[in-house]
Amino acid sequence: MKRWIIGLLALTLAFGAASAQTLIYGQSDLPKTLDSADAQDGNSLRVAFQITETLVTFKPGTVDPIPGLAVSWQASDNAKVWTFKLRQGVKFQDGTPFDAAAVKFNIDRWNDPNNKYRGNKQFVPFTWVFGGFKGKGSIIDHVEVVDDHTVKFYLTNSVGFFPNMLGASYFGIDSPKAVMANPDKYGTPEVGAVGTGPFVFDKWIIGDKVILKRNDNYWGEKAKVDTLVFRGIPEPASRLAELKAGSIDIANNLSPEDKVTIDADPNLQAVVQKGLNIGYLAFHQKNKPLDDIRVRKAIAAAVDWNAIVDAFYAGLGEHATEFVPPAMWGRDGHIPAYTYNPKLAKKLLAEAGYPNGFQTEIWYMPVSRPYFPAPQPIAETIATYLADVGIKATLKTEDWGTYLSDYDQGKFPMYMLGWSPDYPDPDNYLYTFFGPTSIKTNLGCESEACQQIGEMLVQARTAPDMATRKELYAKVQRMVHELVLSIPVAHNNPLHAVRKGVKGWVPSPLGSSENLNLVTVNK
Amino acid sequence: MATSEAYMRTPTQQAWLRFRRSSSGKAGMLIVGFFVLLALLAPFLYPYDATKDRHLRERLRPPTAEHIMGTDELGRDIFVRVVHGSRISLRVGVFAVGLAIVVGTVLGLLAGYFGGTTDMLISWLIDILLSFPSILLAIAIVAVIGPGISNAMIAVGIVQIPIYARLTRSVVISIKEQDFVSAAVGLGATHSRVIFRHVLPNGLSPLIVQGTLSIATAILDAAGLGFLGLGAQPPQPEWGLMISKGFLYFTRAPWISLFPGVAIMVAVLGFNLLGDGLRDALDPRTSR
Repeated sequence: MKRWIIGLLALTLAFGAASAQTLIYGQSDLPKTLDSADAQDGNSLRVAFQITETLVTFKPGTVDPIPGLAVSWQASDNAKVWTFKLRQGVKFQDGTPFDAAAVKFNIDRWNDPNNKYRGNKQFVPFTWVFGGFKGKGSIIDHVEVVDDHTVKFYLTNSVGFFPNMLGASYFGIDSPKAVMANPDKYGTPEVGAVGTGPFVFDKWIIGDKVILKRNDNYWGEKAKVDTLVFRGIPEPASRLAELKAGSIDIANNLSPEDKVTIDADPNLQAVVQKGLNIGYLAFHQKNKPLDDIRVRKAIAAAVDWNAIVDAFYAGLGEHATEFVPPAMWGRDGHIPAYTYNPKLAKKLLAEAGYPNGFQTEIWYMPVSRPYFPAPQPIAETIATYLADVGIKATLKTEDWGTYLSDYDQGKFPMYMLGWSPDYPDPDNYLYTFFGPTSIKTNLGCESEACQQIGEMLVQARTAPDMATRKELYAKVQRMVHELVLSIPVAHNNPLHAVRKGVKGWVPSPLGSSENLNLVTVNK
Repeated sequence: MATSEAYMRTPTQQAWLRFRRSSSGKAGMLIVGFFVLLALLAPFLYPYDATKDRHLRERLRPPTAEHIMGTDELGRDIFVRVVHGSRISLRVGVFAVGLAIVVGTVLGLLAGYFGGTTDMLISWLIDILLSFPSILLAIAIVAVIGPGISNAMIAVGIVQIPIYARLTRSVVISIKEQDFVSAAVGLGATHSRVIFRHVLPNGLSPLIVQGTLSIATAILDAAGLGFLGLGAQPPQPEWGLMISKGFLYFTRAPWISLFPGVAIMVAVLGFNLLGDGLRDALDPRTSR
């Protein structure tokens, strides 16, 4: 009898150990949505990326495009028509086939503002990448189904890096059946998402966690763990504490200053990622007197940006002078940093008619980001420098989701924001920040120079040869520097950590496209 | 002889005697007096401008002789900030409780003195306010009127109104039945004369005790709001806010959060002890 019980016990233990492999990922927030084309933040996209897949993807840990749901692609001579051959035999998690019609359905849903399956979604990221919606700036004119496994994209203009754009993690292909069933609620905690990826949506407990299960019918390398859990833990210190306690396996975006603590703990391993991000301080010129270039120049000169990067990035980040990071092409390369010169700042303020400064607001994000590991202390420091020259800047913040939908409303006079690229091209930075729409809505600049910048960026994305593009990007960044449209602060190499025993995790320089199906947990 | 001497003492003298016998009262008065002194002298001893304070080269220094409580993430001296934080916390405590006493007492007087429908309506309102947990109600109020130290002050004050309304009402109900009140009414005194000359002065002592005790609660609630980012905003040296900001650096520099926490604890303890002492002194039922 006793032996029998022990045997049973051993069996359950062995069985339990073999079956329940769970990977718990601690990030700064839960997703806002799993409808990837409607998601503006890495925390949403990272989760969606496990469920839905893009046509083009990137080699893990790099920015080299490789086949995703498309196996090959080819451009017409003028790069205006692109033909994509799709992977065969792939099924969505709901059993429907992935085919050319599904691709067309997805693109039409995002591109056509009158599409009836858009639901209540804005698909803002689509406009960042493709310039607008159909007929209103979108470079995609229409998509044609050639046969079951071939689609043709007809563009309004030639774009040489079009496949890279489709690789942006926003453009995960969703199951048409699932979207049609509930266009409004698709991507919400209630409905989740259905794609072709290595994980299937299981449960989203609001305010707590998102649970994904392994997709046993996945066409590619099947996930090594059975269950993947995402948790939102806003404070980097709490993420680290939970990692130490073993209640999460991966903690991303930790405070750079904690590298020492992590290195000292035998159960943890620090992972420093080569970053391609940029954190910056933007001005919204609808707020006076920030429309005055002298005032913006004064602000740039009033703050010792170098000291801020030295203090808050613990040697992992570097002071940014341009918006495109050094590891990427498309930089001018010779733009100097704004030098710290409070005297000059005071002089400029006096010239602008504000010898005693003025009242304004600095908005900072409430959560740590890869490019701003400590947003509040950085904002506070900037404010103290501004106070030195008489500018009284009130510090403000709000819920991150609201923040992301408010910054382009002109509500924030000055705001901190940043970017991790979606596809490896300078276009993805500069067009997003200073493209014809962004420069107007996000920065509130409608001057002739700003319009010119917008036009140059449209020109650059469609220019056929690299030399022209390169020259245009360099020129745009020189103009942005001259006009002080926004102030680049830092490129950071974010610090993450995993528990010993977690293998195969490679953070992506593209921010959120991590292949968590390759990760093993050995507990 | 001894008895007649006791009779010769005024009520105030009797109270002071009782207070001096209460050791918690004396301890409380010492602590509160210390904080009040600190708050009053802070601008002279340690002139401070939070909006300009920054020493990036001296970030996250542990406590030393130079910075006895260490420095925070901006290199600011935590001791100076804690001292100036006492100004904020005391102000919040006094103003919030003042607001609550004024509004709550008026409501309680009306309800207790007039009774009937007035009493019913006011009591309903009080019951509704009391049905919320206090910090939750404060959060809801701040969510509506917006974060900030003055709004936090108002929110914490509103939360405490029902306490005073209840207290005053019960005191008034018992006092207004007493002979001297009937006498005043019989002599033709107006309502306001009866209320403010006869009823209120005789009901003051429980209000004073409650007021002292709830300054402690108000300080704690305001710090809670600051911690949640709903009260004081950076760079103000508010204790609750300082604790929450230090959290980002807790593994490396625990002193950033520790000392403001100690300050809150001691201040709250001080007001609670003082309140206890005042109760011993002012409540005749406890007199020995």
